[in-house]
Amino acid sequence: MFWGKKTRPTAREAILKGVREDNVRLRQPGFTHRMSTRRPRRERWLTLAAAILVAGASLHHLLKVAEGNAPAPQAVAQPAPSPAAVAKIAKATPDMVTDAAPVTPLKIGEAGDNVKDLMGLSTRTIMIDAGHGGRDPGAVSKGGLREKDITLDVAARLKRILEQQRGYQILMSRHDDHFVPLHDRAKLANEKNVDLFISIHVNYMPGNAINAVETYYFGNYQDAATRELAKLENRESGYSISEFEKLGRDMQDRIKLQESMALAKSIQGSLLKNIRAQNERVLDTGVRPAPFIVLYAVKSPSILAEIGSLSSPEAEARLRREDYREQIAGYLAAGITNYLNNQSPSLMESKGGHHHEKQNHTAVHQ
Amino acid sequence: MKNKTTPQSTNNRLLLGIDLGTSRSVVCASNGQQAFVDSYVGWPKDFVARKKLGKDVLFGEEALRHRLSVDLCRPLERGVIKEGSKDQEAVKALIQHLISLVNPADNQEVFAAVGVPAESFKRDKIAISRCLNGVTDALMVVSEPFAVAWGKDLLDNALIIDIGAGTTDFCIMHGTVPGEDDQRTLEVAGDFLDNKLFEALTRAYPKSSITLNMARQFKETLSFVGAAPSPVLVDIPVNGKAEQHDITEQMREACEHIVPGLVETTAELISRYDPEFQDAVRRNIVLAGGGSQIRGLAARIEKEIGAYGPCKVKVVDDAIYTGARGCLALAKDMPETDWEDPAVSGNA
Repeated sequence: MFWGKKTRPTAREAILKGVREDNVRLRQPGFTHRMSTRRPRRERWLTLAAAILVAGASLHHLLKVAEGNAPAPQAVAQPAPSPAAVAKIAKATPDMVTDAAPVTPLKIGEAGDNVKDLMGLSTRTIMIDAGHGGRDPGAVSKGGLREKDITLDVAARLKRILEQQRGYQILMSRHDDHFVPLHDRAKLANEKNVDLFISIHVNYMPGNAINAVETYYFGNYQDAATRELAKLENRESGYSISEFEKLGRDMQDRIKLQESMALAKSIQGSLLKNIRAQNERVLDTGVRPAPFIVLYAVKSPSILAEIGSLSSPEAEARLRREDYREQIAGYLAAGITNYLNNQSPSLMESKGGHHHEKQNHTAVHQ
Repeated sequence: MKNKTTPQSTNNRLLLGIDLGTSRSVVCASNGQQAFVDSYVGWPKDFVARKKLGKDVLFGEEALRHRLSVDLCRPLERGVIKEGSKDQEAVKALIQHLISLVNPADNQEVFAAVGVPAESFKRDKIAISRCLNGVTDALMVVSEPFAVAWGKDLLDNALIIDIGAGTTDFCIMHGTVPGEDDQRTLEVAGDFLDNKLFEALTRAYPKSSITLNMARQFKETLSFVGAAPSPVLVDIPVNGKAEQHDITEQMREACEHIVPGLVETTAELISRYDPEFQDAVRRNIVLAGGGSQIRGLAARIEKEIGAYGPCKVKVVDDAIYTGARGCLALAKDMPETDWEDPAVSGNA
């Protein structure tokens, strides 16, 4: 006998026994992988019960809406912030960390560095895309806070901040709570010939109470989680197969790739640096490529920013606050501004003279 | 291999630890010998190739060198055995070759513990187990990161991150056999970084003659994340003449791809752990596999995960042999009665 009759196995012995039993099971006739991955019965019943509860709650809500007695949504306040909140943010602005590490555009070869700089291309129109909307609430926190409400609120604040600070035309893909297919968002952006496309979302990581920020540009996914996120976000895209194939043929766009990456890095850097400067714990899940169809379809440089995670109770509590959403909008604006300021370094002599010079440059183009 | 009906004396038994990887397969034996081979298997395409090569099957560098004359196979690409018998046949041939490299004596029983990528272990352990039936006198299949944990005696409150070529595998240990929920696999690993570096170099230096293999070699010796320890200068042919190129930014850009998924998965696994012991796990993270040698990676993970509490990330001393040594340790520690179970020894 390996173990004494009255001696409990040590942890090592127990693990070895488990390895042996696992291997013995493999050799049993009829053993399949499904057997090894089958969830325990209790867990399956709990999942079914949860699904029934969720379905019942949804049906109840739908009936209430139909009767016109829908409970007041966990409303995020209307986009217009209170003067006190604006004053508070305005005061905080000088302390805001805006000097995120300068983003160096990708060098693309001997013939020149940044194609955009080489061609003297400028940015004039920016579209802000508030993710989800209408019948698509996006992620919903345990407390009922909906992603679509956060994104619309932050998008409106960002629009206002950018309009105040820069001389750009700022557009929005939606101005209220209605459903806009991804196809229509991209179509609008392309029809308006936007120069930058910023899509705002809020993440939800099941079983994970950590707050995290991440920023995506278009590319192939690197992990299963990103693949699944892309599938979720691409639902009801509005695109047909033939339209998608045509998009593929138009996609060889070096400017878009390098500028999207640069913009994503700048925004991620600003979000992270500024959120951490406020003594808030946040995980940097980085700048990543992902096959989000809206980023694929928009012709201009485009990014998708996950500004927090609704699965984190702390993040949810913060996102419920007007002043916090105003701060987030400010961080996004800082990231965009930093990207724009670093676009054409040859045009800038110094930081002090840069704003004036950029405005003149913009005025000439206008 | 011989089909024994009765177990022989343990004196005539050779224990093996085998690390079956996407890029490289390694063997460590109880007779003190160890070896590794690149995970390529090639069969001569026709009788002409067979005559020229003088062998029925080639392995590793030799198979790659003669890739035009052989049907080349890289089993466990992306960390899983692809459907069909060819990969299974290749795995079998590879294991037999590895065994031959450690010179088992005649009539010596061979008992092997084989470590495979975590994803392959989840999906293909049955296929692996069955295709190796008869290759050894007794066989145990385990997941590779678990084997690393065993070899380093990190059985409790520990997180192993094995960064290989095809996959990056995570295994969190809590004092029991790790289940599927304790393990994760990402497809961002060495091969992915090679491709990213190759793409970046091709974009930056379109006139230079760069190959994927060159990119891989640059990465294996000069990879880093974060601040560059020193400029990364390499020679690349331009119109047939070697010229020095500064590839610092391209190397950083490529290697940084591994960070987000690593950080997120690490944080997610730790967040699911018993809250009372999360600090202990955070202080006990180990990087293994070839990718563990990326300079600055351990410090970067410490910095990011450190936002949630004190964090310590260690790197294994020997990225090549750690996995196989862990499998060998498992083979040695496995009780004899367990090896002699007919279901394990194949005598059922």
